[in-house]
Amino acid sequence: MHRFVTRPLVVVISLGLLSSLAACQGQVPQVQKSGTPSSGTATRTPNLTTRQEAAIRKEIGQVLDKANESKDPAGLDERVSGPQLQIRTSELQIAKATGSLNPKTIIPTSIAQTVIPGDPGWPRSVFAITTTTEDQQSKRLLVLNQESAHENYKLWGVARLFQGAQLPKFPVATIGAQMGSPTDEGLKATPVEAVRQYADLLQNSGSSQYAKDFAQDDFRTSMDTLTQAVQKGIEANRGSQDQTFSPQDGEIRVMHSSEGGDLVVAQINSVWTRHAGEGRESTPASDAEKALFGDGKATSTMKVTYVNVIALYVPSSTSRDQIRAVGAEREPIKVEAV
Amino acid sequence: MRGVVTPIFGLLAVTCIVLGIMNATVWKPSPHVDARGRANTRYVVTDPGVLPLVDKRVSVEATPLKAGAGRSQVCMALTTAQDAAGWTAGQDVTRIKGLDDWETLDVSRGKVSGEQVKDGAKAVPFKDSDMWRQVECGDSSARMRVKVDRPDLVVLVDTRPDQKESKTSAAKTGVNLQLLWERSNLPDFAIPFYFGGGLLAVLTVLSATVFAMDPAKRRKKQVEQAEELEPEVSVAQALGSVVAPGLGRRKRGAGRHRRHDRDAPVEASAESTGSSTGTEGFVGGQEPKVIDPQVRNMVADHEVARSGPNRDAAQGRSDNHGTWESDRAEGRDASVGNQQGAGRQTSPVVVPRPGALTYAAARGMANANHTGSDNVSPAGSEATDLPWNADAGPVETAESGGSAAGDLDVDDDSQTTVISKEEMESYLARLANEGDLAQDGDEQ
Repeated sequence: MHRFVTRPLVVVISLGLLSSLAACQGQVPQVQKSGTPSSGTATRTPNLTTRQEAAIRKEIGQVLDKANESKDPAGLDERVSGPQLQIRTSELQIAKATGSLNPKTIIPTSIAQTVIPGDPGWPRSVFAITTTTEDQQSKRLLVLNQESAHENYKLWGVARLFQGAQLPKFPVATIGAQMGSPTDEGLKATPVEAVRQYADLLQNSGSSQYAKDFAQDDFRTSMDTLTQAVQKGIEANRGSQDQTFSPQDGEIRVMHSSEGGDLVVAQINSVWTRHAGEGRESTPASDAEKALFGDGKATSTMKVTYVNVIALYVPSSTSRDQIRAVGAEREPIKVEAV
Repeated sequence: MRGVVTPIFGLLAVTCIVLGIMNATVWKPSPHVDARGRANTRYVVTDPGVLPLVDKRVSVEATPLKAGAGRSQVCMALTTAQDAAGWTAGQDVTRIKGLDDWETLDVSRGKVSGEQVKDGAKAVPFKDSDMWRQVECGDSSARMRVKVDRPDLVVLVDTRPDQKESKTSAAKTGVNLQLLWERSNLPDFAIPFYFGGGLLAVLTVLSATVFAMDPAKRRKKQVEQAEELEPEVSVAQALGSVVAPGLGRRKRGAGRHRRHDRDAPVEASAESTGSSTGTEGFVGGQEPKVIDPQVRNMVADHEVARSGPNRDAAQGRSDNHGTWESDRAEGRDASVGNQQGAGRQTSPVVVPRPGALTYAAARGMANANHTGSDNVSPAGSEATDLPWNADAGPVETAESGGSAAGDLDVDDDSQTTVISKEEMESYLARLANEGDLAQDGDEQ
């Protein structure tokens, strides 16, 4: 009697189990909604991996090399933009005229530090610090810039760092830094303002009202020396000279440092007007100017337009340091006899 | 039990094992997951977290449904979610949100926030962008194998990569999407079945052996072995008593024939101190009598000693001796010692225990003992028979005396009095006399 009950019972149980578990793949996994990655400011992932960044620099280097070889700036704008495009173009013109490229144009391929931000949005930039060159020139600070999502990173600015200049600290490339904006608050001065003050300082040298806010640096020192030398020559001719420095709107890139300050790289154009007195001609003041001027007809006034790229470190307002320039580049781009 | 439960468990165990084997072999989950979907926008992007949904390694394939007039290329790229959103800003995209089931992708159309990027002269084609970690293009279909380290990596598919700026978001044709995973962690359904089968097998064995012990058989055994001693307290009773008194006693079936000799000790209350039903079944010393020497009536003994000179002093002494030693040596009932008391017979002292002798039984035993007990002489006693023979006297004296002591036998407090009633009366009489004298004296 019992067997009549248990046997069908067992069969029913087995079938029930079978139907629920036959050909079972398991539960379909669901996507974990783990919060938007871009919302956290502390945990932002870098926009580029170090491998991607190295690939970009390699491509930039290839474009530069090609242009260097041909001394032709035609293909430059594929990977070069901003002040660097102007400087490179000028250097290539000079190289064509003089036959060789200025050694200061060398950009080493090996990198000492890369600063890759994790900010969403465009334009976005990457700062890279190269090693010293083979002939013991100073390190270069490269600024790569991606203007929009559909464009690629281009070499926007290069500043040669001063010997012994102290750069601020940045997070490692795997963590992701943070870009700043030209109007950042909480610093000794906003980046735009700091650049403007520095331009004023360059223009007015010791008599500028901002002299006490800035530490002395090599660029200003060399500028002073140059100006004084030219002044002596000009005064001998009873001529005059003046330089006007003007920061360029929008040509500024800012990166937050982990020390609380900002590293600012900006373009300051300067126009150097030299009048030769007593009917003399005003001639190019350097080989570069000469090469740019080429075989133009000199007059008593010469106007030379320079592109200066300066790298400033603006500390936070609570810091006891002054604003200091850590690197610069200066290149005449246009020489005209007015 | 054995005939019914064991087969059930056995069958269930076998079923479980069989199901486990089936789940490990025939019904093993497939490691290939092939999910498909379709889109008809230019851009298709997976949501963050979709690529590593099943496994870290995934193969993404996009195939336009039919080739267009010219060369139709399809490109796909691996990038971060925010870069893909930047590239497709302001446009309609098809999002792959997850898996509907193991073979279908969950796709939906949506618009990416932001303004559409204006492609100037400097715009780069899809495959040349710096933002992609990996990029693949193909003519009729594009396939890319990716290993996803981070959950926010996505795949962006461009079905019209040759077109610079898209006025519309529509694709030229529909595009079939396929995500293929090879699962490295397969769900294991066999182990629970093996486990269940093992448990059921153990239960089968237990129900066939331990749980199916036939008590009837056991009882029969006990009857055969009359000599078999039942432990005073079984393990179950002992453990049960730990929890609550009286717990653990094996209950007898209602319909079982109660045997007086078996049941009587079981029913005896554990707390009763000396009142217990008798058992005459214990013949031949099966149930040792427990004597509590502390309950000896010292005064009674004293009386005996006093009245001892009437009889043979040696007897009295030896009685005491013998009795005492007999108590100890054989553990006999204190009824033996109690017989010594002149005119006193304290009730036999029994330690409260099931199966304890009742008073009447003890008396009966004592009677039985002293009537024909040559061989129950205490070890080392000088007068072998005497304690019992001597008891005859006191016993009868007590019974015949009809003193209050005899009546007091029935009372429980007789055990605890130090002064006997007789002595008390004599003492009071003396007191009275003295009191009278005193009174006389006082009055004077």
